[in-house]
Amino acid sequence: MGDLLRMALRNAARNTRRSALTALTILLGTTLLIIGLSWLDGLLGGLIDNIAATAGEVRVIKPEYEAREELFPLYENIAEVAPVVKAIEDAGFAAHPLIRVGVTISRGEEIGEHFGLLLGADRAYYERVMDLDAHLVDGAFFTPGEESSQVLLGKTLASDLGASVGDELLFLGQTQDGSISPIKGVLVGVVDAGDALSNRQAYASLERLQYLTDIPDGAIEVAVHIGDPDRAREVAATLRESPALKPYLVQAWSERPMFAMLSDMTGLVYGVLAGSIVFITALGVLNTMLMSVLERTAEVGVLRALGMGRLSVVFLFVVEALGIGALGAVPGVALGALVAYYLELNGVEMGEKISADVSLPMSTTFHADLSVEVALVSLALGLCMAALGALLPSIRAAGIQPVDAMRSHR
Amino acid sequence: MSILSLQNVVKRYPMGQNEVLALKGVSLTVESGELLAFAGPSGSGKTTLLNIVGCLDQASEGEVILDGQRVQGLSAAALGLLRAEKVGFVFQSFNLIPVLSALENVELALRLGGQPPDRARAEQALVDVGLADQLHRRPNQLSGGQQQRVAIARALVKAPKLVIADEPTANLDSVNGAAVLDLMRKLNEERGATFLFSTHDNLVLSRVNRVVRLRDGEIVADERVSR
Repeated sequence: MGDLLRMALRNAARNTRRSALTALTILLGTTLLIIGLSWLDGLLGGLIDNIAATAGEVRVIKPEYEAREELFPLYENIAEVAPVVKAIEDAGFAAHPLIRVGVTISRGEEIGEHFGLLLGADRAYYERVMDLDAHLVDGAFFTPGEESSQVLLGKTLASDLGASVGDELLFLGQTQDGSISPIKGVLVGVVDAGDALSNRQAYASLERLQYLTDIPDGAIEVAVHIGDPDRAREVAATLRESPALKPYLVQAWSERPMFAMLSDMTGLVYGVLAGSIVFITALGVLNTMLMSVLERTAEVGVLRALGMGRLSVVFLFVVEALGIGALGAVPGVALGALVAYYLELNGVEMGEKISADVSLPMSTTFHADLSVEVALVSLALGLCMAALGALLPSIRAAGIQPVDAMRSHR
Repeated sequence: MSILSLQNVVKRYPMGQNEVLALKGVSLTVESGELLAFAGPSGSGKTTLLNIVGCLDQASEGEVILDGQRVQGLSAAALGLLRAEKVGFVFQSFNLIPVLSALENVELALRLGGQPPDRARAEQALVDVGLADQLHRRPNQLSGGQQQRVAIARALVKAPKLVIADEPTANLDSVNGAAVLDLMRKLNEERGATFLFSTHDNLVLSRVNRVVRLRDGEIVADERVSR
């Protein structure tokens, strides 16, 4: 094994220009991989963070609500929300009852033409979870004790409405039994919540929404914040054991069909991206290794004549490619990590339009998310590119009959 | 005692739609310790015969027995084992592994021959061919004659029953060619290994003790020469 390894590594240094080109191919492939995978992780991670910020890592709803969720079926509500909140808080987690309802919005008395979402939540939710008080672009946050007459608007919605701080806004929604129901509120602040969906929403107190929807003691859902998306399933399982929550559906974010599908899609894109880069890079390696095999046909023939087995021939070429691969993959990971780290720190501003038609809380700035896992996966895939590219040529080499190799040399 | 026996060996090669008959029923017995040369013009079948005898190729028909073992019908893997164990090769173009030193080339042959690593034995093989001071040089740092000596050491280090040398002097000048042949003759006498050459070089023919002449795939003469 030692002498085979030595031969393989020395072979890698035999044609330095060709080996350098192959290493460069792998370097580029690995760099692209780590940037691409970090980018995808950042997109999904950002989305999960935003979901956690708006709907909680875990949520509690009425089971029937989920099937018609897109229609905001207000009648499928948690009529008595206090025992649900208490059960969650007893388990050690923060709970925030929420009501989200579709409304038309107008300034003054006239019925408006602007449709939007109006969210009702407690002050703590806006402050600690959505962090809206830190994202004001105009005006002020809710005045303590006067929340029931005040509203905040996301900056996109405010701009669409042409609303300014101090304007009185009319929200026309409906009660849980379908009756038209209006509320008014004074616009006290405009916020940039960081994602396009949140910037198209209006924010009011929970009590105001309970009044609007005629759900006096209830909510549509209760958002549970645990601070770690990865623990969501475990926490959801714990909460399901609570007797007060038995009648309800306790869902981790990853269990919600839309996000499970999104996660699957991200996995698919992850696979296609990684697979494509590995495949294309492996083709470059294959070309180089094929040249090496053709050049060394006689040499392989001699080794076979001396008694070298086919597997050893495969090993010889694959290890040679892995040696070159390591020369490319290690600096490739380093270079890619630098770029990914820059993208993680600074992000790329994509503007509101990128997520204007998506009903997901997508950030308007896309950040990469560099992790040790992504770096290790990229390094491993970089080596895979080399091994994969060398496999066919080395199998071809292993098939060389000593007598054919001898003949080719004469 | 015979080391090699061939009975009616035929070798056909496909060539496009046609077939080329490279060997036409060759029968031959080689005794252990012989120094034998296959002589003949290009295309006479010398190399084909050496390839079959050296287990690099299989005969289309006939029987080949090497050191008491029937070669016909063996799998490629079994042929490889037989070759590694019993046959040493010296090639016309030396065919040393360029990334290995002289010593490493010889050690590799030992290992591929199924024997345990033995640096002292590999060194001794190179000392025996007069390369004691060239152990760590790579092939490109050696002259043609020195490379062929390494090839001889590589062939002999595993103490094979049969050494096959395909035109061993073709790429050497007459002085180096004579030196290499004298070395092989000496090793033949000292160790009793059987040497089979293919050649049309008179230098080789003048140093062997048996010449088998081939023409168009047939043996036309089998002459024993006493030296």
